[in-house]
Amino acid sequence: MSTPDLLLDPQLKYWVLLPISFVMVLVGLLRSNITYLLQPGPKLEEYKAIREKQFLRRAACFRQNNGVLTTEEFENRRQYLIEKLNSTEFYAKVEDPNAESTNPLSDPSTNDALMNMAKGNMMNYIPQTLIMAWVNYFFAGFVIMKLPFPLTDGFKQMLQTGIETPNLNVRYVSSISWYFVNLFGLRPIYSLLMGDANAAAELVNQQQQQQPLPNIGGPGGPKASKLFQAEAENIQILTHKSIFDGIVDRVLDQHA
Amino acid sequence: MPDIIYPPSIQSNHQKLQRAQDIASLVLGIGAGILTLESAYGFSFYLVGITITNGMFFAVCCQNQPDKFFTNPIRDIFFEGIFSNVPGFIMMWCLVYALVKVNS
Repeated sequence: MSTPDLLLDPQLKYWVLLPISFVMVLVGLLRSNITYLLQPGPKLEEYKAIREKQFLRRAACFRQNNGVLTTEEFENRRQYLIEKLNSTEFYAKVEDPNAESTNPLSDPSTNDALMNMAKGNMMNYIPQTLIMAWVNYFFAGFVIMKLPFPLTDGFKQMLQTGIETPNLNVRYVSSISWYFVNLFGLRPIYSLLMGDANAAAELVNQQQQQQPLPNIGGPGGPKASKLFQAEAENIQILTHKSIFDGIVDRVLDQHA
Repeated sequence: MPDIIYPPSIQSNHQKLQRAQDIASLVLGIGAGILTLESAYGFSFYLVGITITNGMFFAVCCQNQPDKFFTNPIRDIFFEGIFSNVPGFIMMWCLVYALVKVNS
């Protein structure tokens, strides 16, 4: 570099860089614990709703793993499943086909789901905003470090907030940029500290986990009758190839 | 015959790989900081280091037979983790670089 380096007080590192990282790690751990505590326990569902989901699942399992059955077994199960999927026996509740679709917002179960989502989002955004405000307020107005790599001038606005020096090299940045570097870079630290990579990824990515069971009758979910019909059609067109076909020859070949 | 794959096992293998890459990226960041590497040298240090780590995972943990443990071994081991681990590397690099380079 042609320009002389800025002289930065070494004390800055011990009183700014390390405290910010320390606080962010601790807040992250605290947040993951609180999210864990706020998670609602499994709710008691009506047995018919469970039965509906599990029957659908059973059909899907049959569809995926039909190779392990012999032809006779396969045909029996296929007939049974198609018959039941086309009847209303396993529906949680038989719906009136010409009933109007109810407003999803007035349904109490939808409200619960929305509430949980709102809680999750709050747990994500409030701590981040608080830390950002704290960093901005507490450590404003000075250069704390020199980045080891050059950046384009576009980052100047964001990374040098509070420093009124228009021609300063972008590599000298203020505390807020250390906050951002931490925000994205702490995932490996969390995952090593917590020993659980999924929870750590969740902390950083702020994504919702997927539900294991198909979302029947939930907010925005498709109607059970549609799913059942689709599954019945899938099973209808299934081509069956058993693993037992020609097994004697294969075993003899292998051990010949 | 299609292979029978048990997804949780694959997932667990991915987690082990992820753990190795986490540690590698942090350690490489510390290394780059101590050596006070700058810009392109630092990133190439990371690329070389993480590829060596992946290669060792390939040779030691997978015993040179990664298709036993991953569905798409080359991509999963060598390419998938490279970019997702850059932020961790950059963080440690910046931190240690700032701590080491006192008279800058």
